Amino acid sequence: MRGLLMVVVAIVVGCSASTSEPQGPERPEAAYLGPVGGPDLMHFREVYHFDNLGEMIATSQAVIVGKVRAVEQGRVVTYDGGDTLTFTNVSIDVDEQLAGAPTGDHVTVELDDRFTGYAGTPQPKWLDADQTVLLFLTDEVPSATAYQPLNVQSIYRVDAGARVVSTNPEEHDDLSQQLGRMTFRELRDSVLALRARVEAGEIKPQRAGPPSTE
Amino acid sequence: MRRTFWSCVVATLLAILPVQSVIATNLMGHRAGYDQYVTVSKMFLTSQMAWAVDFNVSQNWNPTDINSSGFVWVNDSGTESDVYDANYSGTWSGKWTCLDFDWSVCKTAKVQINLTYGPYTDLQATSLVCEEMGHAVGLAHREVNYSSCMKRPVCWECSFLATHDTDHLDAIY
Repeated sequence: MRGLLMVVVAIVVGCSASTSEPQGPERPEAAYLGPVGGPDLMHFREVYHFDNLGEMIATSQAVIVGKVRAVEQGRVVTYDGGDTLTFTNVSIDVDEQLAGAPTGDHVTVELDDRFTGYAGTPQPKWLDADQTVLLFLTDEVPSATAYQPLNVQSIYRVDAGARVVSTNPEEHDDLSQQLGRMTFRELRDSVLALRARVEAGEIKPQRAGPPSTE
Repeated sequence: MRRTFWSCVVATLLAILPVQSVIATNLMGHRAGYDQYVTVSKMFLTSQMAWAVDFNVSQNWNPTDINSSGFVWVNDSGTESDVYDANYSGTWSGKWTCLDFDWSVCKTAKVQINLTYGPYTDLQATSLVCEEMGHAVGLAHREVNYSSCMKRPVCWECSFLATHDTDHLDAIY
C-alpha cells in the first residue's frame, strides 16, 4: 500500500513538472540494460557488493573527483570460441583525489557494457563531456590496462546543483540510494572522514568473488 | 494546463499498473526462443562449467515446462544460451546478455562465466551457472530472503531455483 502511494505521489510530482518545464533530449543517468522501453536484456553477478561506504573506500585503489574529457572505444579482447569483450575508455582530468594511491592529474578508466549500456542504447549522462564525477576505482583487475570502476555502485555524477546522482542501473540498492541523496560536499566529507579509518586498518577491503572456502 | 495534468496522471497510471504486476514477480519480460525447447551451447567450457551447465539443465530447467533434454550442443554458437567461460577482464563473475531480441523473445543470448575469480567450488559453480542461465530463460533477481540462485544479495550456496522461480517458468513455457 505504501509502495502504491509512493508511485502515485511520484506520478503527481512528475506530471506537475512535465506541465511546467520545457521538454528536451535527456541522457539517462544509468546504463540501459536493455532496449529503451523494453525488458532488461543484460544481467550480471558482480564480484563486489557493498553495504557501506567505508568498505567501498577500503576496496578502492583510488577515489577521485574529476571531469570527463573524452570517451572513445577501447580494446576489444577475443577469447576462445570467438567470444569478445569490447571496452570503452573514459579520459578524466582529476580535480581531487579523496583516497588511495596518487593517480596523477589524469586517469583513463575502462568500462565494460555494465556501465555503458546495452548495444544501441543512449550513452549515460555521466559520460557527457565536462561532467563532474566521483569514482571508486580499482587497478587490480587481472589483464586490465587501466583503472576500472569497482562495480555498478561506484560511479556518481555531480549535478549542476552540487548534488550527487547515482548511476547504478540496478534498482533498490541501499548504498547507491543513500549516497545519491547526499550533496557533493556531504559525500566528499564522508569519504575524507572514513579515509583515516581505512588507512588505520579499522575498515578492511572486501575480497573479490565468492567467499573463500579455505 | 489542468486537463493536461490529469491526462498525464491517468495515462501514466494505465501504463504503469500492468508493469507493476510484472515487477512484483521476478520475470524480466522475455522468454528464450519461441517455444518450450531451449537450446544451449557449451562453448569451449572447462569441464567443471560444462558439468555445471548439465546440472542446471537437468535439475533446474527440465523439472519445469522447459524442455532442454537432448538440446545441448557442443561448440555450436547462435543458440538461446551460448555458454562461455574464460579469464575475462572485469569485476564480475557471471553475465548474461541477449544478443538478438524480438519483442518479448530473446532468440540468441550468451552466458559468460568469469574464471578470473575462481577457482570455484562445485557449489559455487552451479550457483553461478544457475543464475546466469536463469536470466536466459527469463528470470530476474529477487531481493527477498529465499533460497534461490536468483536471490539478491548473491547466494553462493544456492544451486537451485526456488518454487517461486519454477512456477514462473511453468507459466511462460
